[in-house]
Amino acid sequence: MRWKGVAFLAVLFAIFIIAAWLFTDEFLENELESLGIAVNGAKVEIDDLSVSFSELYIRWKRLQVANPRQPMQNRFETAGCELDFEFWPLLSDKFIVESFKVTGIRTNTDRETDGRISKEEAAAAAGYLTKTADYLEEEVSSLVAPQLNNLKKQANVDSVLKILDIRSVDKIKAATEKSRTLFDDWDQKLKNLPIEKNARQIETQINSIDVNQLKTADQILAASQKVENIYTLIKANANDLNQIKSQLMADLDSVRTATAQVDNWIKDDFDRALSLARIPQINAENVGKLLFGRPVVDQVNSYLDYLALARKYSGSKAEDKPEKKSPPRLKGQDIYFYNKNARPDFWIKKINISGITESEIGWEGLVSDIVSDQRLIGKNTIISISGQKAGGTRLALNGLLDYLKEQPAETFDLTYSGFSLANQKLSGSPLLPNKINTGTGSVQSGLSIRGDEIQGSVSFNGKKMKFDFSDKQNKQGKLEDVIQSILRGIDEINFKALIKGKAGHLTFSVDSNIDELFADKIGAIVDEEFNKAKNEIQRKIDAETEKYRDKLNQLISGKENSLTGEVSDYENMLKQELARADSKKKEIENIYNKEKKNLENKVKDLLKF
Amino acid sequence: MFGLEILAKLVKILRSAASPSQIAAGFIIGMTIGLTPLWTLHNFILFILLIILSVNIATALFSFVIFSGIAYLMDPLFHHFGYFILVDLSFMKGLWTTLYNVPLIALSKYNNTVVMGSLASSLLLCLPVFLLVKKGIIYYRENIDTKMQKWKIVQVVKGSKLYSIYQKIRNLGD
Repeated sequence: MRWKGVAFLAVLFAIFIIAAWLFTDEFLENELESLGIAVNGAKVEIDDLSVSFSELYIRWKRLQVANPRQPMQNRFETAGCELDFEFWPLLSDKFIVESFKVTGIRTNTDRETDGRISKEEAAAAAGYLTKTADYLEEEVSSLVAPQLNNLKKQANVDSVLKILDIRSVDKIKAATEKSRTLFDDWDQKLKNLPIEKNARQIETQINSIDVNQLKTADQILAASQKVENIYTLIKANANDLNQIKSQLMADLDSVRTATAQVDNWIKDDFDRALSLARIPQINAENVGKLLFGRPVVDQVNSYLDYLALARKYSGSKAEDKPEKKSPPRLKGQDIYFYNKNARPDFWIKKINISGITESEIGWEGLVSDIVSDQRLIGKNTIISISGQKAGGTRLALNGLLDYLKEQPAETFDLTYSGFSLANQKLSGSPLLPNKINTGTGSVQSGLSIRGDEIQGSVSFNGKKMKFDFSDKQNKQGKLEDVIQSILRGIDEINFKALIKGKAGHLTFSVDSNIDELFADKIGAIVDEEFNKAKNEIQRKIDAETEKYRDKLNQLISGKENSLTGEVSDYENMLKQELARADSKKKEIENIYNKEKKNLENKVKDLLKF
Repeated sequence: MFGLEILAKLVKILRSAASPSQIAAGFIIGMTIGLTPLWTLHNFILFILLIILSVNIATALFSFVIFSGIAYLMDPLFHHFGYFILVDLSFMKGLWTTLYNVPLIALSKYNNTVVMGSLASSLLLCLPVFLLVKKGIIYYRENIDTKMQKWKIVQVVKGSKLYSIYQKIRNLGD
């Protein structure tokens, strides 16, 4: 035994105890914040954390959990919190909390600093629920809501054309240049053709046959042979010319095809201009989403975000044969061993929560059995929250997270009734721009998820509603007039949103009692604006492209005529030479026949003797 | 130079007053700490043993440095070996499941493939390495050391002024 060593260890232990006493709070605060950031995907900040291993508690004065989708807002924040934990499970690497009291919860509070974390930290794999949330976001974002603002400002065709790069002009210019080069080549080619020279030579050869000099049979035969040779020459030249003519026709066809593309190029520009102008389509099918999609999606997405976290951390990690991974060097892979008689790695038995909503309704509730593996305790996580406010406003939220079965399942029910709509906006939709003066509302929503199958509904009912039009007096437009006339005529709004389906096959629909009204009246305005803008865009694109198009057409038609004319001239030359050859042949045949007759007569005379 | 320093340290350890068993024990403790991930419960225990038992600490430090490098190179093998022990040896599953819920053992990170693979490798190597090192030291001291002392280079170094200064400084530290 090395006694100096024992003394050294004793000193080391004493230093450790002192350091732990001094720095544990800070260390644990940092560790919990890091853990929270990893779980939440955005900043988590804890203020004034204190921990006691003798009294077994952890307390803090404030907790802020940033919203990863809106980093300048907190998902929620709390006032003072205290949790009592068990000591012995810590030695088994387990964290068991007997009770957890969370007070002063407020949701969607503003942050002083940006809650974003770096991309690397946030690059956690997106699960099914996160993807569903993203799908719903897209469903609402791709709707016409943001585009209506453009419409209200009158779709500015000039600004659209300013950012639109009219590609057809360049394409027409390129086609013109290409055609010009081709035509120049043909000009050169036809100019260098030896047809004219050959025709002259043929003519000279024909002229050189003087039929008057044909006296003997040999001379006639030789002249006849010469004519045959001339025919062969004419035929060869005609063949060459035909080949060239076919090539020319093929090239002219290709130029004509390119010209026919001009319409398509202009149409492409027109389509791109329309998409840049983002001219909306409004009909009975999408007007519900347009009117009320945003608040519904926000609500469902906040559920889904929490559920994605719950599934990620509550699912059982123990498998019979875990898949072998390739972990980073020196990190290894943790293997979990499930024992149904053991206590879970993480378990908060109950959380007493209380807080206040954005509309100042005090609420309280109990969340029981948040646990790393529900199978180990045989219980589901249950959420029960309720609250009320003078005047009959009631709030009730009940939830059940069931991870005991093969397929994870979650259900949520929210009832929020009798709340005042005064000074509220029904949605962020530009179709419902007006605040409400008076009215009461109630919301009933339910969400049930089993495995990757989701089914949810949100129903809203607003009664005795009166809209405030005072801030619209100075900026009246056609659209505002129509919206105002619709809203003046109604005092009740109901809508029901439904979400259902499986991963990749989700359907999201919203129906309301004012769909038809809005679709008809606003749809007509939008159509009118749409057609106006469409015509204007078409006119401007046509004006931009017309001169280049005309230039191309002129070039093609001009050159087509001149080139085909040149070929015709050559054809005519050969035809003339052919006629000359025919005439010469005829003359030779006449001489031949005459000579033949003379000879026959001479033979007959000789036979008479 | 680094190689020479290591050689010098090795010779110094071999020629120290510590017994071959103390040196071999220090060597295997250092080897285990070096081969396995540092911040684990068993390394904490080994560290305490190293401090309180009369084993050679210099040897432990020496082997720790050497085997830390080896551990980095062998990491993929440790991962596969650990996975084999924890998952593929199905008859051991009951033991691992029980240990998973035993206080303190659960903190040992034994359920990590690299910890298990490297620790099991160290345990397998402990006895043969202990015996090999011990025999090697005895052999060195009996057969090689006296011959080495007679080497001219050693005589020259020992006779140099620099060496005598070094000796004085070393003695000051004792």
